[in-house]
Amino acid sequence: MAIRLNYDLRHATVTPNDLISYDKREKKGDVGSILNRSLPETRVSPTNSSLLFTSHEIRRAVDLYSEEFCLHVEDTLTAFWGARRGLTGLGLPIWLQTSSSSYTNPAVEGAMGEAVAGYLMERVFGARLHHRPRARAPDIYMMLPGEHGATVEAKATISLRTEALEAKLGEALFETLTIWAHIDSVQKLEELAGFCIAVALGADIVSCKVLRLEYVP
Amino acid sequence: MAKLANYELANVAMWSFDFDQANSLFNSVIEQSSEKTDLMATWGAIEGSMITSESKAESWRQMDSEPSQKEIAKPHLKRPVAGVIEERERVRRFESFITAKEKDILWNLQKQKSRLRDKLLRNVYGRESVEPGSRALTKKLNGLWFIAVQRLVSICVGRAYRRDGEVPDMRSVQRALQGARLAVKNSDDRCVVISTEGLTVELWFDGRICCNAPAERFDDVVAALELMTKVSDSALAATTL
Repeated sequence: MAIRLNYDLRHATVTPNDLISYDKREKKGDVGSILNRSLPETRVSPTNSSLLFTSHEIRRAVDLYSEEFCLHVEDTLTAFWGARRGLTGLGLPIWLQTSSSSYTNPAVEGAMGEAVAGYLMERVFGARLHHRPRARAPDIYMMLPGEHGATVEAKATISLRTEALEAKLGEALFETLTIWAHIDSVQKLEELAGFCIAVALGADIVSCKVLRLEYVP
Repeated sequence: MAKLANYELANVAMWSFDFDQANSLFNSVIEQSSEKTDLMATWGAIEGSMITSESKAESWRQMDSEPSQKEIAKPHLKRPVAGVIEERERVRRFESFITAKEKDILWNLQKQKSRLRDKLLRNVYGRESVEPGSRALTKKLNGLWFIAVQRLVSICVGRAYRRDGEVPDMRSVQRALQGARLAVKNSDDRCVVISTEGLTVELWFDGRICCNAPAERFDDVVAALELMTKVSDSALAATTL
């Protein structure tokens, strides 16, 4: 099993003013303006490319980066995509239940977003896992080459529409600004990088948008 | 050949079920990162330290009546050398932030543990059942290598790593495998996957070795992990020569 990972890299600067206006509850406008002024990534090239996410890499990434515990990752994914393509089988009774509870989402859907994000960070930016925060933002804290810390926030969707991916990038940015505004008075944000990663999960192709944030005091 | 940083090794140790070692490594990460007032790194290392402290066999077996009554061996912060007033103020905020987070983590951890352990200890009639099988997680120290296999109902999960954090590069592993009668299923700069006795064993660039198999192949999993540790050692030896 192997999935093609297509990615698009951009970067943007965040200023103290962004965090101030964010504190003043101008959250959506702030997120929109940061997204609008983002530019193609300059630190790594190419900014548009793809990677092959193979079976053993998927298993390792889910194991390391996901909040959800998922033992048979490839099998769960195959059953999930089978169901979405109209093949009846494993897990369908749960996915078709009408309740709004989280059980309607198979665990692997959430797990894969974080796994893809961690894998991209390793392969594209040479980052290493520092720790996986439990039940709080960011999703992952990583170390970049040169031992600079990076907060990584991932948001996944199973919709392959471009607007859905953009919306997820906005959500990831929203989360990152929340944690940055929270730690602003203690952590030197200029020593920290932020990565917002939106992931659209397809059966054979995964599309990702990565926004690297740089704090400029 | 490379040596893993303490935070990387702490993660690998925790992943390999070596909670004692992971705990002391996370404590050293706390010292390093608190000295630099790196809030995110210190916060995460404290969480790692507390989780691994609670995950140790002796601590996991022990059950408390109330979550808040137990004291966990607290990790130590290292005070940075703070010069200017503004910097000293930031250090003060750092320490108070970390202290508050420590309390949160401890409370959440003990609450979750008591929730999980209740289910293990009591059956539906409220009576205490026997302790969970002590043979479920088998651990072994082979020189510098820590090997652990967890036996579940249908599968067993085997993991190993080198406690000193020395890892060979994948090219030397590929060279070490030449001539050995082992089927190589995958080989690149991140991972080497071999097949032995019908089992698949992976060796990763960060030193992780893993092998999952049906539960009845428990002994074979141990042997497969040991085989891969030897491959890794010979790759390391070839690099240092």
